[in-house]
Amino acid sequence: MPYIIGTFIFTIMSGVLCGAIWFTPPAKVLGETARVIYFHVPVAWISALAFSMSLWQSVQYLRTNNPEHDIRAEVSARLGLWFCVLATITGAVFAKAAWNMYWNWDPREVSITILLLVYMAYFGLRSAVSDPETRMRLAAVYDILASFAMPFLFFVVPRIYSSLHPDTVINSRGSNKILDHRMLLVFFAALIGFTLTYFWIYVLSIRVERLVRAREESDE
Amino acid sequence: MNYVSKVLAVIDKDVRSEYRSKYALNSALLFCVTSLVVVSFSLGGSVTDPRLQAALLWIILFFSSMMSLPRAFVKEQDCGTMNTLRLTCEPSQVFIGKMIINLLLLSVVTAIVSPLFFILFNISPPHPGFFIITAASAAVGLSAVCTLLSAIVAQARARGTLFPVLAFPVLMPVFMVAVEATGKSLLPQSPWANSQLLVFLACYAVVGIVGGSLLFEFVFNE
Amino acid sequence: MKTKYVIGFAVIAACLAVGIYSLKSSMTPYVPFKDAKAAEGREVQVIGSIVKGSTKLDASKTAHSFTLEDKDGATLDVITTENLPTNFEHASSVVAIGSWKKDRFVARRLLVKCPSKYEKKAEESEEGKKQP
Repeated sequence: MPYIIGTFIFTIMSGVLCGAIWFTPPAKVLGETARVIYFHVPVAWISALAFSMSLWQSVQYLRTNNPEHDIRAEVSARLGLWFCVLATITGAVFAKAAWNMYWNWDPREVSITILLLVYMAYFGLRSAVSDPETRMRLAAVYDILASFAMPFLFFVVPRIYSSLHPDTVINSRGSNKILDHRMLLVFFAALIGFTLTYFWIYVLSIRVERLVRAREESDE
Repeated sequence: MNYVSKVLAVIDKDVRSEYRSKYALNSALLFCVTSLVVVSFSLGGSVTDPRLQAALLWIILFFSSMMSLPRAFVKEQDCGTMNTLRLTCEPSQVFIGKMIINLLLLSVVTAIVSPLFFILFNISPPHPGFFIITAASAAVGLSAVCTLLSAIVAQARARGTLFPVLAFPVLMPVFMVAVEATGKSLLPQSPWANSQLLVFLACYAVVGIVGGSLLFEFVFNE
Repeated sequence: MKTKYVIGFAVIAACLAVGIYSLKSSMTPYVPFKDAKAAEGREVQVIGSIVKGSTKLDASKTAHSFTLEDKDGATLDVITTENLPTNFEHASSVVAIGSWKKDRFVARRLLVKCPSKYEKKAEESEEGKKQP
């Protein structure tokens, strides 16, 4: 069964990759560089999803004290951090092409930097506590505390201050910014493909993490 | 004893021990004065941009609080008195007491360092009222968050380096807004048009206090 | 016990909302045109849209000049010796980094924001018309 799911996801992602490169037409004005949206947007969405998941699992951990929730919170945070790094890199490359500069401390760039710092600090904290039970508790508390600063980073800074960042593709006004149906198709396929990939890695990582922790316990 | 008197007891205990050793206050003040002298000596009168001056002032205050505020619980942990606190008080009482102690410490340091800063940089603040409200509300938010983080790092290793790493991203909003508001207060124009900055700092302070005291339970109780 | 958390998080959510709302108009690296003019000689970043048809190559053929308009309708004359970025003419807004010198804004660096519509590239003939 896992192999079937894996093959299925692999097929979708190959389709997205080929579609993004050959199937979709180049965009007006932005030209070929616009193809970054098939990767940058899904990756950013996954990191938001993973961080929300991490927050939710941290809350659950404090409620139940079940280590399983801590495993999920840690795995989500780790995946979120990796996808966030990918979003930063794809964003910087696109910024060079479209805005003529890799990095300009645009509000979006400020908020993603702080986001990266938050979760690096989260892992810093995890590695600095030796007792497993204390580590889980403190990490969950920090995760929740950091989330109080998060709305500021995610929603306020980029949306209110004038930013060079293009408006989000699917916005609250309901007007869809992607006009060509082929682009739309590949874009949504990319969103679905990346989300499935995320869940697939997530499930596998949880299994790995369980084994790692079981080994650590038996070593002691 | 009722709720308030327990909080007062926590404050009283810390004020006494601080009065005897003066460790936290001295180290914070010495750090501030040293860095202030270094900054002013190396930059001289060349920094005339109010925003830059505000940023310098807050960087000095921020790092001095990174050094002095974690002591609130690190001290208890090192002396082995954490359990006494756990036995005698409710978590929220300890949190409020420690937060007020940190706030007092930060206020004293700010009250001494800011005038010194204004003198060395030859500024006569045109709107001291706005600056005082900015500094006070930022200090409340700062001390609430730092008190919670202090309890976190007290149970970890490498506390000295871990504390600023944990604190920086969480305190970033309050730091940015405090710099902005202080910069406005140093301009000749009336800063009251920017009072929404103060509203933000006040909201951050409330989030810090409420969120801090709720989360503190999980850090404090073993 | 449970009500404590419900009330606590309601207070936090309310404060976050008010705090976020209160920041609506502050803090951006981009300064208003008025302030850019006042801070003569100091490097600032301004953001605005190009006034249609204002882009000109000056007599010496070494500098481009154009006029930026912000969302309140204020205008700023900008001059730059930099090459204009490739999609400059299509940009929905432009950031100029530089400083106000005497009577105009001298840009050291230009950044462009592209229209956020991901349309299919227009037909060649239409594209051709836009070229000078």
